[in-house]
Amino acid sequence: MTMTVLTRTEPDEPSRIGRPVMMLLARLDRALRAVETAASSLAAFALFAIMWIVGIDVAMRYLFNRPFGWSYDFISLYVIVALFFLALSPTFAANGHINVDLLHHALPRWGRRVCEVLICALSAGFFGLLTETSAARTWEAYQAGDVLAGSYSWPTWASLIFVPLGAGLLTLRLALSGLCHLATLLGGREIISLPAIAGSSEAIAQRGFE
Amino acid sequence: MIVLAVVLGLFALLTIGLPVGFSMAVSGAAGLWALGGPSMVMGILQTSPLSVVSSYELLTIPMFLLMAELVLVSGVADDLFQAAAAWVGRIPGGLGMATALAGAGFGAICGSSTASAATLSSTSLPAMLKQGYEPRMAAGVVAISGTLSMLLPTSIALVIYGLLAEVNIGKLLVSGIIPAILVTITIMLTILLLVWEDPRRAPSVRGVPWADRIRMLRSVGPMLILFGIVTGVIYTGVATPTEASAFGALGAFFLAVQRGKLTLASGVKSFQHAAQGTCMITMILVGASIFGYFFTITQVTQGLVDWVGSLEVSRWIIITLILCGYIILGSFMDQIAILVLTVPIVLPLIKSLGFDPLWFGVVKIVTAEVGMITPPIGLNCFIVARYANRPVSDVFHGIWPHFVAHLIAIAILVAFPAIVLWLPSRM
Repeated sequence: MTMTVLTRTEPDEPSRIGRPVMMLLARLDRALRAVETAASSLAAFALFAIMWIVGIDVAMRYLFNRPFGWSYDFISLYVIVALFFLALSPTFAANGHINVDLLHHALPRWGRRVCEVLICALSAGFFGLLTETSAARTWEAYQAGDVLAGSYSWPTWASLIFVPLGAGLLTLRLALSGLCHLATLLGGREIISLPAIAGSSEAIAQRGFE
Repeated sequence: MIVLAVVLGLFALLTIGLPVGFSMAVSGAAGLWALGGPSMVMGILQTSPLSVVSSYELLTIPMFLLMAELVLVSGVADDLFQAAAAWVGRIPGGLGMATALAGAGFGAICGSSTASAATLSSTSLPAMLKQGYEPRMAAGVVAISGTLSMLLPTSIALVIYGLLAEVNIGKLLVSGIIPAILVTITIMLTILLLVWEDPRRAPSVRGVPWADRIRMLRSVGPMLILFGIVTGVIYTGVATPTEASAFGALGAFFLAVQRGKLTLASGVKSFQHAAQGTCMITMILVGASIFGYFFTITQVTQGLVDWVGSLEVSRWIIITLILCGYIILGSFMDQIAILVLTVPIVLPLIKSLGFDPLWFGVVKIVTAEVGMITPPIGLNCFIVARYANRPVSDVFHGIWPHFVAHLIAIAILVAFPAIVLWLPSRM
């Protein structure tokens, strides 16, 4: 997990960004991290639930020939959707989304920070759009009372809502991280540290997934 | 024209370090906007992300990731190496061979190559160094043995390929087994060759009494049970790969509890790490799906297939070029990224040339294994270097005999597809 630090990167350089602005950004970052920790815990719990529901379902089917009728729909409609969308922003904050960092090996710190600002701005545009369209769709489904037909009437909005929730949280994270990096570039202190580069000890500590 | 701009845009985004899934989503959406205006983008954004995520087959990924995390917590790898070392330790290079065997055994229950390399680094590497093994050779064996996880049935990489290629995931997982045995033997023969060339590289070990050897076999039990409840049920068709993966995760959970290694803190960390891994991989699949819409509409893939079909070149030359391309890409790009970026384009080509997608998946994963160990970013080498506290150049130096051996193994798999296809054909 990247940590929030309020130390000067270049101690001799006079800060050109006002102290109140930096304090505000750091405070917002802390608040957002608290929300992300909660979202990440919920995602972890969703994973825990999936493991047990599927495991018990299979056991009930083969041992007692009485599988849960609801588990397939419940998991694919709600639990895995919650798992993915709630984890989006915490994973970004923890630099968990893999990228190609070949260029970053060659760039100075300020150059890497310019890249981070670009990354945040471009992604915020995309996820902002996703938040908007998915929120509209969720609202439509809620008002129309859409359900997924089957042996149970699963309300569609309860699945759809995780898209604007997760994408919205990520959009906020991207906007805030972008501003923090920009403030640092303009001569402020470092609020969010740069992501670890592949091969560095920080990156290895995070371990990959292949 | 739009296609070229979008593809160049994608590479530009990847280069500045935008996460792979984000890059594909952003450039795909931009391309769709250019082709069909905002309504097309909105339409696809409304359906695509949710339809990718809301899939039961996708569950295999979080379950295998979780299984890997929990197996890691359980500490079962230490025992595996001890048992293997007791049995084969006396052969020249025996501890190296034990590392390869432990890598295969661990790989059968832990689908993450980096997790496997990290585990072997903390168990077999110190044992070899203590015995006076040449550090370069020891580090090389550990880095390469970790990659066996990618080929055995809990492999996360194979599942990602299966989802992208829309092949039968159960058959795909099973088809990696014989190639994994072949690769294990390749690693062991390479060690034997190295020791034969210079016996000082691997001083011999004192023998272990038979009673101890048999006692140590007991520790292999949990591994065999986990292997059985995942691979066994997939092979016999008792359960689907998704169900088997959940069983595997539960089994690993009980194993960690039974061995007294699962605390609240380590448990929460494992689940969070697996959840983030799931999110990362799924985000890439979501990005690939949005980019895929763009590619489908522009018919680029079909154009490429037609163009290659019109070439007067043997299909074996084309497959050789593709595999060489993969090995080069693998030296500087993440393996999951390579899979997602290339499979949707390369696979139609492979099918049109008359190759089997199952076979291609396994061969592709063996090239990915090579990618995990080639400089400059061979991830496993960095992991081993960190654990061994040695410069990574040392590990890269120790890896090159295995690199050459792996190329031979790939050539064998390409020449004899039956090695891959025989076992799944019996399911």
